[in-house]
Amino acid sequence: MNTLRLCAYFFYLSGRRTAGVVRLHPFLSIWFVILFLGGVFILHLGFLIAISGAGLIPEIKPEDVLIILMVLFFIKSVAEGFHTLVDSNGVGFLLSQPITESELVYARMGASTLSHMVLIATGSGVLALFDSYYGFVVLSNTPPVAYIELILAAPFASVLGIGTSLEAGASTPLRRVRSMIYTTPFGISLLIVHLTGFGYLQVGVILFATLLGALMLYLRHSVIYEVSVPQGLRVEKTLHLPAPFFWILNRTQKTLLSSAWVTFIRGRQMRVTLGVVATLFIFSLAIRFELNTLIAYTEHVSTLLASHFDLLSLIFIIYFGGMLLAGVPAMEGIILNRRSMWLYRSLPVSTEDLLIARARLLAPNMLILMFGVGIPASLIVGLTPVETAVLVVSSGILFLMGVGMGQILGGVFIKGVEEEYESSVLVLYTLLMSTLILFSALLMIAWFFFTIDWVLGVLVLVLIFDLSFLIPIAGVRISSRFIERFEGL
Amino acid sequence: MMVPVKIPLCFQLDTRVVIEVTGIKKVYDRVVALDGVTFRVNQGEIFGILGSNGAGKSTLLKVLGCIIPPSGGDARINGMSILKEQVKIKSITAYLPEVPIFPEKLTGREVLRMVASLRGVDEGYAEKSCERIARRIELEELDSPVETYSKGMKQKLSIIAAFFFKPMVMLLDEPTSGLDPKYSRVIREMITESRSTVLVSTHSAFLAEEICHRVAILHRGRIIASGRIEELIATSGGKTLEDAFVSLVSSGENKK
Repeated sequence: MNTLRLCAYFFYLSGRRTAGVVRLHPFLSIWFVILFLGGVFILHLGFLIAISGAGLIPEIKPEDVLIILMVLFFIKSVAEGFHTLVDSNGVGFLLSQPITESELVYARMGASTLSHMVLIATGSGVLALFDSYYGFVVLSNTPPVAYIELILAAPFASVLGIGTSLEAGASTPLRRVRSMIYTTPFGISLLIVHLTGFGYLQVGVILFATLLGALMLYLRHSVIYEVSVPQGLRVEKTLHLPAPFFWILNRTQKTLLSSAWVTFIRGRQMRVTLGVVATLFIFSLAIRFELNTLIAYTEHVSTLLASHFDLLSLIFIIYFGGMLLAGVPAMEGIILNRRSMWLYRSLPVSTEDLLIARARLLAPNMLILMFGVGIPASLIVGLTPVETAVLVVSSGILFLMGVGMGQILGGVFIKGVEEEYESSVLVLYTLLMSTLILFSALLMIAWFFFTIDWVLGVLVLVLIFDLSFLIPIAGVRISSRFIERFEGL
Repeated sequence: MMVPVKIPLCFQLDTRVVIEVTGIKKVYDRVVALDGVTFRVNQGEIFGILGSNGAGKSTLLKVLGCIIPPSGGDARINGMSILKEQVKIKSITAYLPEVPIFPEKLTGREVLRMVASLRGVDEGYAEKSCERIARRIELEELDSPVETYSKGMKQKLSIIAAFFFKPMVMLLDEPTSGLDPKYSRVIREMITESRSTVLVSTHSAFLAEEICHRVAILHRGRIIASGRIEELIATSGGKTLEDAFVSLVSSGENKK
């Protein structure tokens, strides 16, 4: 009974927070909606142009906007999935009540699942309402299995979100490694299954993995206590950044980078990185759902999509992964240290040095994304060298933009994020969308040149890649100004 | 062995001005936190800023530590302007905030190593110096993450970070906040032994009376009185600095 009551409490809390976004930040909310819809719309348009080839601009229908709305709901559920579940203050407060840990874990999972499903149902309802105008062309032609996979995504996101937040919230390297063992292969295997397409087998695997995850969580629920009561913990050894990354840095940057690295390893950023797996899964699912609906009513696009379906899914996953890997840690890094900023600001170190060190901390992510993921993935799906170059370079562009936008937003929202939960969700959205808009615009330029000549296209893309280095530099400059003006210390 | 903390009045100070504050103003939105603050502190002097809550003490120290920029006026630390040479000023200055917050995931020792490295202090010297101060103030948990520290332990860590490199100038914002009487006394001893030029803000007349050579009373962002403690007491007609403070602040309120 407690579980149900708690579930209702968490669900209510989630609703209040969502409502709070509108109530507390009307301007930001409008800004976010414009950014989001605009960003996805441009991406959508660019995507259609790209796959239609030869600069053909397809007709934009009202359904496009509605599908975009659907994606909005998905992202909202993803944010809920791994963001609200780490409210340690809430857990700490509840632990003083006559409630068992199992009830707490189940209640959080239940509320999160419910919250996702409400969002998905709302999105679907709106979509159905407008689709009825066209005689249910879109919804009726989408395979039922796609809906099932979509519904299953809700408990999956809950399990993965709770799993990563509980384990990675712990403070020792051992527990962190354990969290990776629990959650990362779990998420990656699902991504691979997901890439093979919609189907009842995939649905079964997701269901099984979700149940397995729930079982693992049940076994590990005592971690809540460990997270909440870290007293007496000792760290015997300092984790240093590997020496090869040091050659380009001066003494100040090395020191800052080392402390940032240790903070990254021990802190919330690791959890965020793990949470990216869940995000990627849901986001790629959203994209696939979008593709399916497109197939349903656009015959011309349908033919093109059918032949490039897996490739496009992969590209989207790499792109969004890059964006999150770059932007979120860049943003979080600054936000996380806002409270301890007095320490850095009382030392003889310029703000720019501090931010550059943080941006460089993300360089290994970029290399892994471009070469460790991009090239093997291209080989697996059988891309040509030109397509591989496009994929790899685009990943790099997106990564650089993510870092730049993350730095800017980390600085701009420096105060709001600390004080309001709602703001942090908005910042995450804004990060995703603003990066998306910029990236889509740049990519569309490159695609335009590709339609003229592929050599010219590659050259333009490489040029854009080079110019993209200016974005983190601009990000550092802008952010450092905001931080220097920040007075809420 | 405990050393007496009380400063003898005959204490000889260097007359070289190290901190020179001229008409400093600070406005947050529409709230005036500092309104034309002017004073000087000589080398080796312990100068107290005494004020009630919200008087602008912390803001003043943040401005002088180049943590936040002033809205008007200027100040020179060892001849360097806070408007132009912030990094140089920080390299000779230790700033201790009222509520120290550190990167939670680092251990105390890691925080100190980072501070030492960024200040360019020799690693071996820093290690020994930090250990020595840690022993004196009995902070034994240097190898535990800061997130496990109590308020008092964080205060002790910030005191080590401020003292270990023997700064030329110290800006101390309520340095004994969160500490019990035993450690509070040790900190007062450390301040008087330091030989640095110290600007200490406090709302405790007792602390100011015990360690400061001169005191300025800050009220609503303005200095309403300053001078040697016995001068302030004599001016107010009271018996203690606390009497003087209450009397001066009340008359300041009445004038307003």
